[in-house]
Amino acid sequence: MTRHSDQDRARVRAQVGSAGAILYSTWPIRTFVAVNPLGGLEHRPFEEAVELAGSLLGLRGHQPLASFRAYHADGRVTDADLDAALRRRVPELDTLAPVEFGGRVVSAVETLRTDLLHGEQPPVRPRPPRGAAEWCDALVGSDVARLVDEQVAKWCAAFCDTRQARWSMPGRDQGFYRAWRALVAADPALRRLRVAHGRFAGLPERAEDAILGALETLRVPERERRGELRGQLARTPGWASHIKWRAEHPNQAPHPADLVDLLAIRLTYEAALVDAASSAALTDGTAGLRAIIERRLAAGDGPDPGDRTARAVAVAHALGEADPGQEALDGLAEVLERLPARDGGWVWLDAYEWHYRDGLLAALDRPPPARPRRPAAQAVFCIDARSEGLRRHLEACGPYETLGFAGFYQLVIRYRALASTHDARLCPVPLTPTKMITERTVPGTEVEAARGIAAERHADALVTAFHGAKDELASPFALAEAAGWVAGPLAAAKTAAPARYARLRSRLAQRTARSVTDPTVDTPEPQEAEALVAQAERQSIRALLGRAHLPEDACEALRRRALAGGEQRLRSALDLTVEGHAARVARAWRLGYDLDEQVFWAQFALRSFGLVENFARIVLLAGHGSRTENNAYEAALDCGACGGQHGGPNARISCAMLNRPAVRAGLAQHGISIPDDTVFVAAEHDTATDQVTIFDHHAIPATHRADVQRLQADLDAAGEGLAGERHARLPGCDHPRRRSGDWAQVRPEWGLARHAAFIVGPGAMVSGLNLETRTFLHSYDHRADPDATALETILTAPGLVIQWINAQYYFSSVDPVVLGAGDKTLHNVVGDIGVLQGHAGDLQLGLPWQSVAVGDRLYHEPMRVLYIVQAPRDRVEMLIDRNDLLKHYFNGAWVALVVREGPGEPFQRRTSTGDWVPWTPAQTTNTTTSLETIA
Amino acid sequence: MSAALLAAVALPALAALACALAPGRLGDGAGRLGAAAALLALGLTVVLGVKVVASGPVSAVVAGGDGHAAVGLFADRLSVVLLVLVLGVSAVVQLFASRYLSGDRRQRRLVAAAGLTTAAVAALVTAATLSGLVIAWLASGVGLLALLAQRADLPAARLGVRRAAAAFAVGDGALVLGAIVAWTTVGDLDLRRVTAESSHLAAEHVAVLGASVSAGAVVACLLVVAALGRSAQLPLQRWLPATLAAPTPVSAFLHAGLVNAGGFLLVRLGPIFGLSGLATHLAFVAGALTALYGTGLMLAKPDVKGGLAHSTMGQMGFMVMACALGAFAAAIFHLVAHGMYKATLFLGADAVVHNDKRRANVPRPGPSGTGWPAASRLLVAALVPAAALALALATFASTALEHSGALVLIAFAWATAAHAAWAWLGATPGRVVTGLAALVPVCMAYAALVAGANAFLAPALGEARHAASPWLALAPVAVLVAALTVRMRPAAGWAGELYVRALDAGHVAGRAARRAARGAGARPHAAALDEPSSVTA
Repeated sequence: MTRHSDQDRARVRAQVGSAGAILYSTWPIRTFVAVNPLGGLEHRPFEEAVELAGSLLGLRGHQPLASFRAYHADGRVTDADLDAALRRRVPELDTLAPVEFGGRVVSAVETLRTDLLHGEQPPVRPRPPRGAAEWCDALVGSDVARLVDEQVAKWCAAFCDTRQARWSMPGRDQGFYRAWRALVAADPALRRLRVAHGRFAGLPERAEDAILGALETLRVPERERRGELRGQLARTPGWASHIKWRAEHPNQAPHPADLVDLLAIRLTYEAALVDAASSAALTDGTAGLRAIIERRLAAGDGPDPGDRTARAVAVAHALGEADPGQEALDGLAEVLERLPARDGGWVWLDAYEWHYRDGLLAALDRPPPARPRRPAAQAVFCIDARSEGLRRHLEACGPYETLGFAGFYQLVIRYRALASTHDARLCPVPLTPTKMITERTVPGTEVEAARGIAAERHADALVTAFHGAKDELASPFALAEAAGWVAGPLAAAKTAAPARYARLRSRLAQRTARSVTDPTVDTPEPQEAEALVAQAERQSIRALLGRAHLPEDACEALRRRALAGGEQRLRSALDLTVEGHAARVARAWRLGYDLDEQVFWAQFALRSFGLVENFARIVLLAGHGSRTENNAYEAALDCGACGGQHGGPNARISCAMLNRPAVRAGLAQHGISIPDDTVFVAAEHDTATDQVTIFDHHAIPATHRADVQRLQADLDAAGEGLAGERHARLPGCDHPRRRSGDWAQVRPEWGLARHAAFIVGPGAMVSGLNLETRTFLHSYDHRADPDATALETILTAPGLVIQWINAQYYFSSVDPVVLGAGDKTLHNVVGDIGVLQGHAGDLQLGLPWQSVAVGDRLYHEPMRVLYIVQAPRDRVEMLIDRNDLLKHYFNGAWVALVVREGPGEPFQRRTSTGDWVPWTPAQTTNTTTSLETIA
Repeated sequence: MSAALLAAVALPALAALACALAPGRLGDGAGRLGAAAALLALGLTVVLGVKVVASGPVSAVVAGGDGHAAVGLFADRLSVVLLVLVLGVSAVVQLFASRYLSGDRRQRRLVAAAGLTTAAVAALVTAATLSGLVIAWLASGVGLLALLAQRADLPAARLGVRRAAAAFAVGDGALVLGAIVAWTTVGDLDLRRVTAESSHLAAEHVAVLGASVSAGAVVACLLVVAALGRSAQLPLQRWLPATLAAPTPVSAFLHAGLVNAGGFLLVRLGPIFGLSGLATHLAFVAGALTALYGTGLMLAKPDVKGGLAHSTMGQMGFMVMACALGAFAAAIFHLVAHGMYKATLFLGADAVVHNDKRRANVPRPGPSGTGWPAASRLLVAALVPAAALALALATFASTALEHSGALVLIAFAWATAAHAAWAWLGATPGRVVTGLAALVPVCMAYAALVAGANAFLAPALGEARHAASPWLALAPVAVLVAALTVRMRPAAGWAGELYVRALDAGHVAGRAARRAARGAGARPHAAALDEPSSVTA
C-alpha cells in the first residue's frame, strides 16, 4: 500500500466533513434534544434539501398523495386552499388562457386543481445505488452492503456504550478506529464473511490512510469521492449522526470518535468484501466493477419519461370529457407544464398548512381584550406549546396575566444539585455554558440535608449491590431466584394498579426528599466562599463518618482539627488540608453571577418578555419537565430549551436574582422599577400531569403566603382543567394523571405533537383564545425593545429550538422509517445513547411512531412552523438581513413568516423571494376552524 | 374439581378465540379481555391448588380399561405451581399490552396469540398422557412463533421466527421421535404414574444402528434434545437472542413462560430422563456450558434487551444443570422465580435511561464505601453469607440438603450473596454492621424458601436414577474461579481476543448470503452487467 501524504489526509478529512453535511448530530437519548435531521442542508431551500437527502436516504418529504386527498374529502383541505396554494406556486396562473372543450371553459387554476385531485400519482424514481457496496450488490448480485452494515453496527454499539456492558470494549481511549484496529483481526466474523484475516492484520495506523487505501482498492476516482463517502454514511444514518455528535462534543463524549473513524472502519470492510465479490464475478475485479459504474453514471437517469398528453387526458376525464380533442388537450398540457407532476405534493402541503394558518390568523385578527389593571399575579411559562393550555386555563381562573419566555430564562448555566458531582447543562444545546451554579443548604437545616443525602446514598448502595451480583458470571443465578419473588408481585401491582403504586412510591420518595436549599446565584465574596466551602466540607465529614445526625458545631470542630493537621482519616479521604481547602475556595469564587451580570441579565430578560411595568404582587416564573415512567424518550418531553431536562432550576435561579434588592436597585437605574411588594416565585409545570409545583417556600415572605396559596389553588384548578382537555385527545381511557406513573404507557402524553406556529407578541394577543396547545407563545412588546436586540435573540435562539422541534416532528411523521424511531414497542435501549429496533442494526433517529400517531393514523399534523411576529416590519426585515440563519429559514421556506405592527394592522406574509404581501384568507369560511373564543 | 381444571386450561383459549373472531371494535379491550380470562383461570387454579394440597392430585381423565389414562388432564403440585406462574405472567403481560399497544390494531392479534399460547402451556403442564404433552408442546411452539411474527414485516422479526422454527424443528422432532419410541414399545404413557411407566420403558429394548438399546435410554436422550431446543441451550441457542424484534410484552411472556418449558419437561418426565446416565450427563454438559456462555455474553452486550436475552440463556443453562443433577425441586424453584424476575426486567426495560440519570445525580459529598483493604473486604463478603447459609442449613432448612445436587445450588447462592456484599461494602455510606446483619435474614429467608419449595414439591417429583454426580459441578466452579481471577487483571493481550469473540457471538447477524461469498452464485445476475465479456468464463 502506498504511503499517503499529510496533504492527502487533510483532503480526505475535508471530504468526509463535507459528506457528513447530509446528516445532523444526534444527541444521546439521556438528553434527547429535537434536531432538524436535515439541519446540515439548511442553507438550501427546503424542497431542494429534501430532494438531496431523499436521493441518499430514500425520503418522500411529505405525506403521500392519498392522505392529502383524504384530507380534501374530509374538508381539512378545501378547493379554495388548493387554488390559493397553486397561485402562490405559479404566480402567473391567472394570466394563462383558459381551455375550452365540450361546451365549458376550464380555467388554468381549475385544470391544475383537477390534476392534483384526480391525476395519476407520479412514479417514484428508484434511488440510485449509493456507495461501492450497493453498486456491487446491484451489478453482481452480492449482499455486501447489508453485511457491512451489520459489522459497523456491532462495533458502533460496542464502542459507544458506556452503561450497559460490564465487560466493555478494550482500548477505547485510543479512539474508535484504533480500538477497532487492535481487535478486528481476531474477530470470528471475518471467517463468516469469508475474508482473509490477513487483510485485517496489517491495517494502517491512521484512519485517513485506511480510507485512502480502501478508496484506492475500490478505484473511486477523486471527483466521486465525496459522493462515495456520502453514500457510505447514508447506509447507517443513525450511527453516523451519533458519531458526528461525539466528534462535535468531545468533552461530553467519554471516548473519542469521529466520522473519519467510522468511514475508515466501514470502507475497510467494504473494500475487502467488494473486492472478493467482484473478483469472483468479473475478470478484472474492482477495476471492472468501477468501469461499469462509471458507464452507468455517465448514462445518467435519462429524461423524465412523463407523458404530457396522458396527464392532460386524465384531467379531461376527471372533468367529464372523454374526448376533448387535440387542441384542448394541448391547451391543458400547456397549463399542466407549469406544475411538474412531482411538485404536486408541495402544493398539497402548502394548502394543508395555510388552511390551518388562515384559521389561526383570522382568530388573532381582533382587538385585544382588556386586561386587569394590576393582576393578582403574573405567571411566566415556557414558550412550549403545552404551556398555552395552562396559561389559558389559569387566565380563566381569575385576574391573572400570563406570559411566555424560553424556559431556560436566558441563563446559560451548568447546574449541580446539592452535593452532587454531576453537572447538568441547562441551556439550549448549541450554547456552551459559561456559568456554574450549585445549591447550598439553608442555614439550620444541615442535619436534615445530611439525612436526606445519606438516605439517597444508602438506596444507591443497595442498587450497586444488586448490580454487583447481577453483572457477574457466577452470581446472577441465585440472584434471579431471590429477586423474582419480589419482582413478580411488584410487576403485577404496577400493572394492575399503576396509580396506587405511583402514589405509594412518591410518598416513600418524599420521606427521603432533598432538603431545603438555595441556589448559589451570586458570585461569593471571600467570606461567603469560605462559608460555602465550609458547609460542603461539613457535609462531606458527615457522609464519610456515616453520621448524618452529627450537629453543626461538632462537625465544625472536626473540620478545624483536620485542617490544623489532626484527624488523619478526614485529611486523607476528603483532602481536608490547607491546600485542598484553598483550591475549593478558589473554585467557589468562580461560581455564579456578579451583580453587574445579574442586572444586565434581569433587564434583558424582562424586556424580552415585555414585563417592564405594572408588576403584580406575585410574579411566578415556571420551568417545565415531564415525569413519566419506563420511558426511554422521557427527555423528549422535557424542556428543549434546557437541553432536554427539567427547567425548574433555571426558574429558581431567576427568581433568586430578581428578588435581590441590589438587582432591583440596578434595574431601577435602567428604568425598570419593581415595586417592593412584588415577589418572584419559582415553579415547575409537570406536563405529564399538568400539576404545578411551587419551589422555595422558605424564600416567600410571610406577607405573601396567602397570595401564593391562592395562586397555587388556581394553578391546581387550571391544571385539572387542562388535564381533562388532554384526556379527550389521548387514545385509550386513562386519565393523563394516571398515565404519568404507569409503566405500561407507551404514550404518557402527546408532547408537542400537533404544534404548528410560534407567536411572538404581547400576551393580550392570544389572551382568551383557545389555541388547542398548538402554538409556541413568546411574550414580546416591541415598544420595550427599540433596538430589536431582544427580538433578534427570540428569533434566533428560541426560534432555532422551535424550528428543530418542528423539523423533528415533521420528518418523524412523514418519513417514520428513515428519520423517525419506528415502533416504540420494539425499542431496545443501547448504552444511554439511543435505541435499536429489535436486536441490532442502525441507531434510530427522531421520535417513535407512537409519539406522532395512533395505530396507522397520524395524530401530529406535519406542517412547517409559522412564525407570527407583532413588530414593525422594517425591524424584522433588518434582522433577517443580518442573520444567515433567518435568511435560510424564511427564504428557503423552512419556516413561514407573518408580521404585523399591532392589533388592527393587517398581517403581512413574507414570500421566499423576500417580498411582503398582505395576508388574505383563502376563503372566509376557513375562520371557523376549531378556534373559539372563551367567553 | 376436574371441571375447574378443564376451565383453567380452556379459558385463555376462549378469550383468544373471541379476539380472533370479534370485529375490530374490540380495540384496547382485547388486552383486558385476555387478562381477565387468564386471571379467572388463575383464580380457579388457586382453588384447585388448595384441593391438591389437601387431598392429592386432581384428574380430568378418560381412562382406558386398566385405569390407564387415555386422554385428559391432571393437576399435581407441580402442575399447580406452573399454572400459577404461566397464568399470572400471561395476565400481567396482556394487561400491560392493553395500554402498551393502545390504539394499535396489532393488539388483538397479539392477545389472540398470547391466549392460545397460554392455553397450550397450561395444557402442557397438566397433560395426563405423553401424547397430550407432545401435542401441547407442539402447540405452544406454534403459538410462540405466532407471537414472534407480530411484526413479520420487519426482516429482523422474520429472522427470529426462522431461527426459532429451525431450533424447534430439531427439538420438537426429537420429542415426537421419543414419543413414537415409547408408543411402539409400551404404548402411551400415563404421566400420573411416571415412575412406574419409566420402569416399563427401561425393560424394553429397541434397535439403534443395529445395537439393542434400552428404550428408556433412547427416550431419555431424545427428551434432552427437546429440552435443549426449547430452552435455548447450546448448540441450539441461536434463536433466543434473535427474537427481540417483537413487542416488549411478547418478550416478557417468552422469557417467563415458554423458554423454561425444557426444564418442566425434564422434571415431569424425570424418572425417564434419569434412566440414562448419558442423557443426564449430556444435559449437564450443555447446561453448564450454556450457563457460562450466556452469562459471559450478557456481560459484553451493549443493549439492554440483548443483555436480558443472553442472561435468560445462561439462567436456563443453570436450570438444565440442576435437572441433570437430579435436583428437580431446585430447578422448578429457579424456573418460577426467574420467570417472574425476567418478565419484570423486560417490561421495565425502557426505564434504564431514567435510572442511569438518577444514579448520576446521587449526591456524593465524600468517598463511598467502607475503605477497608481488599483482603478484609473479601473475607467479610465471603464469610458472612457463608455463615448465614450454613446456620440455616444446619437448623430449619436441612430439608434443602436431602438431595446432594442441591448443595451445588446453595454454593451459587453463597456466590451471589458474596458478590452483592462485596459491591455493597464498596458503595455504602455507612451502617456497615447493620447492613451485614441484614444479609443474614436475607440468606436465611432464601434458604427457607428453597427448603419450602423442596417440601412443597416433593410429592410431585420423581427420582432420577442416574443423575449426574454433584462432583462434576466442580468443573464449572473451577472455570468461574479462573474467570474471576482473570477479571482482576484484564490487560492481557488475549483478553482483547476473548472480548471480540464474546462480542461477535452475542451479535445477531443475518446469514451471509451465499451468493456474496461464492463467485459462482453471482452468475444469474451477470445479465445485469453491461458487458458479458467481463464475466469470468
